[in-house]
Parts: sequence; structure tokens; C-alpha cells
Amino acid sequence: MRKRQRLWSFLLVCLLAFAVQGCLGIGGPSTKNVGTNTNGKQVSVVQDVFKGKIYATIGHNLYQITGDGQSHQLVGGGDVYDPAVSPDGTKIAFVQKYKQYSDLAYIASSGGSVHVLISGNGRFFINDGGYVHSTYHWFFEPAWSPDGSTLIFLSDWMKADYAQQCTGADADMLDLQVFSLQVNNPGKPQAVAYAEFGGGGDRDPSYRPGHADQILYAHYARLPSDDTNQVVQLFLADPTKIAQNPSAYCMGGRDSGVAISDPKDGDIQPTFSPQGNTIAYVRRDNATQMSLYVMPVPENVTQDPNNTTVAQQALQPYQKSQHLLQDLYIGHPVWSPDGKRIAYLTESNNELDLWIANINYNASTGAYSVQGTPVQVTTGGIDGDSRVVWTN
Amino acid sequence: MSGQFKQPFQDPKKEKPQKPSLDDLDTLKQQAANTPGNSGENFNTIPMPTQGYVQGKHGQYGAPQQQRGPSSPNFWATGGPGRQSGPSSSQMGNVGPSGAGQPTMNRPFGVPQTPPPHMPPPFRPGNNPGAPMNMPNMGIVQTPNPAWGNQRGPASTLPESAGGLLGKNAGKVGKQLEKHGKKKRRVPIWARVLIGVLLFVVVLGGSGYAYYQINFAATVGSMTGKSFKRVAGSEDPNQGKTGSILNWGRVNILLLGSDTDDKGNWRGNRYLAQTDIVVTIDTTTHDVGMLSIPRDFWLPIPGYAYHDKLDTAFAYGGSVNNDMSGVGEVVATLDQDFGIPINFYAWVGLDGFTKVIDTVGGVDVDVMHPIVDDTYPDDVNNHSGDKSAYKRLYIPDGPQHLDGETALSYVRSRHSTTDFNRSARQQEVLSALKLKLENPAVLGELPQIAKDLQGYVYTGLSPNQIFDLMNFARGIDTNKIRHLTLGPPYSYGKMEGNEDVAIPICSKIIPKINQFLHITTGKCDIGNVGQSSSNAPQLASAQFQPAPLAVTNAPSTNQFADATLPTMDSLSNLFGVRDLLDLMSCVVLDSPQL
Repeated sequence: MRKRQRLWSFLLVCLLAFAVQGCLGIGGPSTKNVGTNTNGKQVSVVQDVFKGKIYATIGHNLYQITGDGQSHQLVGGGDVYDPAVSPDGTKIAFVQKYKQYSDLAYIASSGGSVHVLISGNGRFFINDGGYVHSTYHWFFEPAWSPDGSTLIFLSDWMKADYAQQCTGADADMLDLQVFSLQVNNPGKPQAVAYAEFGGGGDRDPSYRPGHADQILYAHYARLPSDDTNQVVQLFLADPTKIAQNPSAYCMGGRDSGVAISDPKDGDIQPTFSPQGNTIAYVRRDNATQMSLYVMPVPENVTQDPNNTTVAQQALQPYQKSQHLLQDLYIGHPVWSPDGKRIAYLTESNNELDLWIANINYNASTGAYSVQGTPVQVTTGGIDGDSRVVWTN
Repeated sequence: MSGQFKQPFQDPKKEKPQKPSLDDLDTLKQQAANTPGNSGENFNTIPMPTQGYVQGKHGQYGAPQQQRGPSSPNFWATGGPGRQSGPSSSQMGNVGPSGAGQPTMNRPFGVPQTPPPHMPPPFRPGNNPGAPMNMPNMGIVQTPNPAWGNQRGPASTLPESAGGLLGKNAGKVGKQLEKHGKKKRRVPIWARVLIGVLLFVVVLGGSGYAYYQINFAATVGSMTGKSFKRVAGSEDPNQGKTGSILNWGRVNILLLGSDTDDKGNWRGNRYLAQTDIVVTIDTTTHDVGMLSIPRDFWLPIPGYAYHDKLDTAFAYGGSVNNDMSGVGEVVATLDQDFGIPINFYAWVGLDGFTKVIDTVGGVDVDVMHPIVDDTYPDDVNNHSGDKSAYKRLYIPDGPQHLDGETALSYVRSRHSTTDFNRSARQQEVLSALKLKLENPAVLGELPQIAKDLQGYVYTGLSPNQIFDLMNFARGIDTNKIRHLTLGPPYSYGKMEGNEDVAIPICSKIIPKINQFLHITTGKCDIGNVGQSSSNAPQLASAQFQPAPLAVTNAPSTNQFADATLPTMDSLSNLFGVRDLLDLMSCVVLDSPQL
């Protein structure tokens, strides 16, 4: 009897110990503090849950996040957005955002001074009609070409060049469009993909790995049959089309890209796999659910985007989209360098943090699936508008 | 012996107590002798301590009880040890030296509760090493007593005659007492539960009341029930109306909104009312309508000999302290110019919205549409001194964490998207705010939220009336809320001096007001403003088709109420803060001028 009692007592104590351990978080994965977010909360990185380096902004300071305790801040100031690491890993392009404008800049991966490629500084003025305009500009979301010579990015660079020619609208073209810039000889930005006037602009441009002639982006527009409803589609485009034939396309109207997703789905934030043969993207299922999907990349559709047959062909791979996971919020997915994992932002504990899902690919069936349960990488909340980069 | 004492959980039915050895007995006796109330003899025959207070009146029966140890003189007051570990009365004939059970046995015989002054010191757990609190196995058969701790009260009802019986045959009497006690001593379960619940309610209610008084009463009180002085000649439609506002029939509530950033101030130190909406509610028919009156309406201001814009009426009657004295002027203007009776008002300052969102730590939303705006008013947190400045706005798409200022920008911006999309944005932010308020952690911020609202929300409604109206709003079909704005074709624009003003077209306004507000007193006494229904510019009439009393998808009181119905609604509303938030958002988001 006594032995049994002692045994039960021992088990009870063990149980209690586990409970206390669970409550206090003792014995869980180790974390390392890296910085403070805009809410003043400490952001930590869970150790040993991923390999390589992840670049993201916390409190709009640029951080290099690692799972081996070596996380550190690269650029401070609280005005850093949208990091992008060059293919050779030697440079990090990013945006410094100020109250009225932003600068497109880069630094060496090893650190050092900031090189501004182009500044959006300007001024407000009142035109002849008494309306307020500005010569300020935005630059956001830079992405490197495969050879590292060119950056594509979003901007309102040509906003004063009214879109009247295509739309008849007598107003500035504020929606952000895709432009390009030579890193070693910046000069003036070159239009790469146009936006629809008042539609919401283009988002998340990126080059297809190994294909300097293909870029991917999300394109906001208005539903043709209903001017008050928006549509978002993924587009592929040849970034040289507008430069080669400027008169064939026009800002605010006819675009050089071709849609590769269904307009009825709200697909956003596309990202190429490292091999360039798969696209991961986020879909807004409804007001409280978002999903992560993958789809094959349409081939040979960017050369003649206005050809209806090509347009139909471009939409076919979308039918093979595969659902990976669902959550309240999913943002900024990015593939790991080996293509076996996807990092993304999602909400936990009322914070937007970085999580990683293991991706299983069955080569024989072509099926993608999430392996196991996604793991949390950061706690405390990183910037929700931070683009994420994952390198070796 | 001590080992025997430390086996409180042995089940006597399954395991007999170990019989102590002779050596143990010696030790035991020694220990017991050192224990107050024990003489070191056999527990059943240990002489009772001198003059235990139970002896006072019925000395004969004292012996067995006295063996159970000293009693606490304050037992009844303190709920002493007997409440916790007193042995069952079924063993009263064999009871050992336990102080625990003492009072139980003392009480039945009508012994005075006040002990004599020479009482031994009260028993306290821990100061009686030989008699721990839970000593159910001290040579007696211990029966678990589910009602321990509750034996004391009813015991006093036992007849005194029981004392004599006990002296002669304690065991027999004990059984009788046990029987008797079981019947009469215990408080019924239901009564105990009831008492417990009542106690819990009283304690909880008291704590809540104290918490409310400390953290909210003054704050909420300063924002609600804030009456205004009606201008002479302005009728008070509330006269003679008492009881719940839901029994008043039709009620008109004037919603006023002001930019509180100093940019739009009138003559430097008085707020303008840029938002002027009359919400008409018929609680009987569940009819709700929102009548937006353009801030630029060029009207005679009662008490002043000239015309001015409607938004200045609030400033005319107001004070530099924003004490809501301007409400009377707006109410008088609507009453005397248009015959619109106003029962209550609610005023909201824009900055309160951002403060609340910041207090809850910001909101997470999926930005459905990228926002770019080149000429967004730089009127929040602008410390440059130029309150009329612009700023450029950029909010990327996708899941974002928005602070108060950015969230306000997100819902206010008009220059990049349609109003339809703007309504969706507003609902997004409200839903996100609802999620935040559902978070139990935010409950701790309620006092701060109340403070955030202080100075930015005022109403003549009492907290109970707000609560009633918000509950009423939650039962309203959103699609049946009527909206009407008295812009074109009910008015037209005109330059008055160097000001852009709106001139009401009386012939169109009067019937609409009567129809919309279900009144017959509608009028248009706007004096000579260079037009009348007949001389209004024909262009204005021809250019715009009369809008029906359209049901629109614009956000409404009800929509917000729906969007903010959390599971912890009642808890938040306990403090009135949620209702004030609802009220504030109604004004901020329904404002056509923002």
C-alpha cells in the first residue's frame, strides 16, 4: 500500500513538474533575441530550426537571421524596407522610406556604407488648375536579375506622364508599376510592366531564376464588368518588351504581361522556386482565411502576350495548382535555397511572425505537400510588410 | 507514537493501526503529556484538563470531551481547527485528545460560547505537535465526514437534557447525538451551494464595482450624460419622456465629428463639426435611417444675424474648452432651419480613433488593395506647424500590422481607390479591432482605452441608454438601414464671398426630411440666400437625378455593431467602453467628409 502510494506520489510530482515546465516554457526550443519591433516588443529567433540566412526587417531595420545564434542587424535607422540579395550573394538591395519618398539603395552583404541608386526626393507644387501635385517618387520591392546586373522594382516614376493616351484620365498615375535600373549605371528607370490606371498597381516583381527574359508579378485591376470590384492576377512578362516597342503598350492600359492565374481568385505575392520551375503564391480564400499554393510555370507565353491563344495557354498550368496550407494570414512566402522548405509570415499570438513549412515533392506524381507541422522561426512579431529572402 | 500520529490517511477498514511497542508507548505518553490538553495517559482515560470551559455548567459530561484537547475561545469566530478535522460525532465516546473535534462536542449541551478567562491557549495547527490538524487515526475509528466544518451551527440546537444522559452513558448518548446531529446540525447542501454562490456574487460584484469606480466611473461619467443647453426657441423633444429609451418611440440622435488636430479649428481655438448626421431610430418599428447634412450648408445660425456654414454652428456656440456648449447651437440650427427635432447628440474627435488602436497595440489586417496617395492630409501627429500640409501615403498589400495612424490612413484615403473599396477597408479595420478587443490581454487596457476616449467622445446619452441602443442596433437588419445625403440634387454649390458653400433646395428638402424622419414639421427657413425652390439653378436640378431613399452598402451603426460583437462583449460593456467605441466608430466611419 505504501509503495503504491509512494509510486503515485512520485508520478504526481512528475506530472506537476511537467506542468510547471510547460507553463514556464522551460526546456522548449532555445531562442535568441535579435531586435525590437515597432511595438517595442523583443523579437527572438528560434534556434536550430533552419539552415542558411534569412533576411527580413524588424522595426524596419534590416536583419540577417540565422538559426545558429549569429543573427544581427545589418542596417538600422528604422526606415528599411524590402531587402533583396543579389544572386552571387555579394549585395543586398533595399529601400529606405521617408515621409514623402523613398530611395533605392544597396550595401555589400558584408556590411559597409549604403549606396543610393536612385532617390525619390522632390517637392509639392500647385499646378495651373490649382491642384496639388508632387515630384516625389516611391521605389519599392527591388529584385535582382539572374546575372545581378539589373534591378526591377516598383515605382510611380512616370506618374506625371498622364495616362490620358490610353485611359483619358486627366490625373497622375499613382499606381505603382514595374521599372528596371542598371545597377552599375543607374540613369533613368525603364518601364518594364505597366499598371492599370486606378486599379491598384503591380506588386512583388521578380525574375525567373535562369531566365532574364521573364519576370513574375501580381497585377491589381478593376473587374471589366464591374468598375467597383478589384481583381488580382499573377502575370508573366518579358521585361524588355516595352523598351523594344514602346508604342505597342501604354501606361495605365495595355500591358506587356500575360495573366497566368484566374481573375476570380485573389492571388498575390508570387515567388519562384530556386529552380524556377514552380511558383508559390498566396490566395485570399475569404475574409478570414488565406492559403499557400504552388503551381507550375507556364512556358513560352511572354513573347506574344496579346495573342488570345497564348493567353489561354498561359492559364493552363494554373489548373494544376496544389494547395499546401491555410491560415488566418499568410504573407511573403519564400523558398529555401534547396527548394525543400518555404518560409512565410503568419499570425500567432497577435503577432506576424516567420514560420517554415517542409515541402515534400513527389517527382513521379508531381505532387507537392507539406511534410509535418510548420515550425515557428521568430517570436515577438517582425514587420508584416517585410519581404523575406532566404540564402545559403 | 508519533509514527502513529503521522498516518492520517490510513484506511481503518483495510489496515489496522500498528500497535505501539512498550518503548513506543513510553515515548508516546511523554509526548502526549507535553501536548496541551493531554495528560500522557491512555486517550480514553486521560483525565481532562482542569476547568475546560465545557465543565462550567454541566461538569458531569465533561470528561470525555475534555480528553479531546483544548478548545479555542474564539473558535466560532475564527472557524478554528474543529471545522477542518474534527472527528465524526459517532466516535464521541472514544474520542482522543484532539483539539480539532472539541468544539463540536462542547456545543450540543448548551454550554456558553464565551469561555472563562482561564481557558488554555487556543489550539492552532502547528503549535500542537502531538495533535496535528488531521489526526483521524488516533486510536479511534475515523469516518470521513463530508460535512466537516459545518457541524457547529446546528449543534447548538440540541436539548440541554442531553448533557445528563451523556454523563451516564456517553457512548449511547453519543450515538443519539450523532443521529440527532446528522439530522439537525448540517446545513443542507443546497443552502451551502446557495450561500457559496451568493458569497461569490457579492465578492465578484463588489470587486467589479470597486474596479469600475476606480478605473472607469469618472472617465465614462465625464463622457456620457453630458447635456447641453438648448438655445431659446429650440424645443426639447425629450420633455415628459421617462423610462427606457427603447420605449420612447422615434428618437433622433445627432452625430457630430470634428478633426481635433487643430487644422480645422475655427478662429484658432474652437472645433468645427465637419460631420453632421442625424440618426433616426424608431424602436417600435425597428426603422433606422441616417441623414447626412453637408457641412457646407449655408444657413442662418440662430442667435446670429447672418448666415454661415453649418459646421461653424458648433464653433459659434462652443467654447475653447470644448465643453459641448456648441451642440445647442447645432441643434437649434437644425430645429429652427429645418424643423428637425434632436433628442440626443454624440460628438467624436478624430484623434481618439488612432489612440484606441495604438492602445490595443495596433491591428493586423490583410491590406486588400495597395494604397498610394499623393495628397493625403497630413493632419495626424504633424508637428511641423503646418496643419494644412499633405503627405504621401504608401501602404503595401497583404497582411500588415497597422498602428493607429496608418489604420486611419487606410480607412480614410480616397484618392487611390473607389468608395466601395473604402467601405471594405473600413470593415477590415473594424473587424481587426474587434479581434483585438476579444483578446483577454486587452481587457487590462480598458482603463487606458477609456482614457484615450476621454476628450474625444461626448454624448448626452447615459451609459444605460447607449447600452440599450447598441443592443437594439445589433438586432437591426443592416440592409434595411436607410441613408440619405442632402447633397445634390437636394442642394447645389455656390461661391459665397471666397467660400465654397452648399445651398439647400428647399422644395426638394422639405418632403425628404418629412419622409425620412417621419415628421410633419419639416421646413426650410433658411432666409434669403439668393435662392429658393423656384430660383435654384436649373442646372443643378437637371444635372442630378433625384436619388431615392436608397439602401446603400455604406457602413452603418448596425454594421459596426455586427462587426464588433465579441464573445466578451458583455464583459467589456460592463465598463461602457465598448459602447463608446461603437459610438465613436459610427461617427468616424459614417462621416462623408472624412
